[in-house]
Amino acid sequence: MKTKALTYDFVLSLPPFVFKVKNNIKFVFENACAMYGEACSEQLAGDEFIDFTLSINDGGGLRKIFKPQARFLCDEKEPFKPLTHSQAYAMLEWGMNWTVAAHEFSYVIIHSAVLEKDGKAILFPAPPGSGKSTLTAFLANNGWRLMSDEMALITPNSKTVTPFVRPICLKNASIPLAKQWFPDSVFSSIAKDTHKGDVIHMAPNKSAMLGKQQTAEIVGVVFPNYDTTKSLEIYQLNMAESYMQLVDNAFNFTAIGEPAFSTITRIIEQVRSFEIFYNDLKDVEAFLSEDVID
Amino acid sequence: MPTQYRIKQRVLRHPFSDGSGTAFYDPTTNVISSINVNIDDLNDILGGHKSLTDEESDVLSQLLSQQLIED
Repeated sequence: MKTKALTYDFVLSLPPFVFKVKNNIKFVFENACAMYGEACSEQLAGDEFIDFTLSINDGGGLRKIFKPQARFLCDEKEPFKPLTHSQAYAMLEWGMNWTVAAHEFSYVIIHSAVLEKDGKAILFPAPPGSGKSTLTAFLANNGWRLMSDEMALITPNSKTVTPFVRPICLKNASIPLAKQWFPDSVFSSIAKDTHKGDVIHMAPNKSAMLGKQQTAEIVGVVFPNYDTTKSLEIYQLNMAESYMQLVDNAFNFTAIGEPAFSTITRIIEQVRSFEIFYNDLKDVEAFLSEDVID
Repeated sequence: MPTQYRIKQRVLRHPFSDGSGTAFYDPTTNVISSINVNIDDLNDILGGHKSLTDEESDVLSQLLSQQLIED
């Protein structure tokens, strides 16, 4: 008699998307529950439909015993090579990012953190290593509402950004710092030795989850650069400079085409853009509150 | 007679209001570009009525290599 393998399937209701996750790795389910709270459930709510069906699994077979892996699938396709088993939860989070960036065309998507205060949103587009996520974690726990750590979903031909509330991905040296600064926050298990180094996810806080359907208007774009040698240096970018930096961080510009071009040029025309270098997060917060959203 | 150029009809362009430059997007080739020249100066460069500085020649070369303009 064949025994049915244990599964820990779940649904993540993360406006504006709903993910169905087929899963046979227990700690992935436990981490998802810890990160998303009520937004993680075993069944679809009555009025929802699934946008994306994902799978995270250990692959099975002999490898499961000798060298267990984690495999990610989106609609039965496997876009990435397997990772080691202990990185399965991080792989799911990255896979969700990839899924939205690769398939969602009703928004212009910028690789950017988004934080909001008083109904005003600031985009923080940045490549890995810029300190974006550490800054995001700090702001999200100091009076700002986390709308996204990873992607700005912008309604075409507008300045309206829609939240996509997800955990904040922290890496290496920022992990002990975040645990020290925010002892009440919820953290995932650590994924060690990933291509980004050691990685942990920090759950969005209550204000972020409460505001998960509350859009905001973009009032500024800030390109952050953490630099231990520099106290706060601020450079206002001209529009041509800002355009190329935003385009470099756009996930789906060419897939969307003309609406992406008009959306990005409109934002640049209507809000100020800055590049900042900093080594003190409090200085950045003061600059944002006093000079960007005011 | 110096060569005169024009921006290809299909190419989207946006001259930034701060005069810092002009953005381009060609939806056929998916070329995304930006030059640090405002639209008035660009028209002068494309018009072939003036001798170009090194920087202006570079702009012309960039737009030609990206196939955003034609003669």
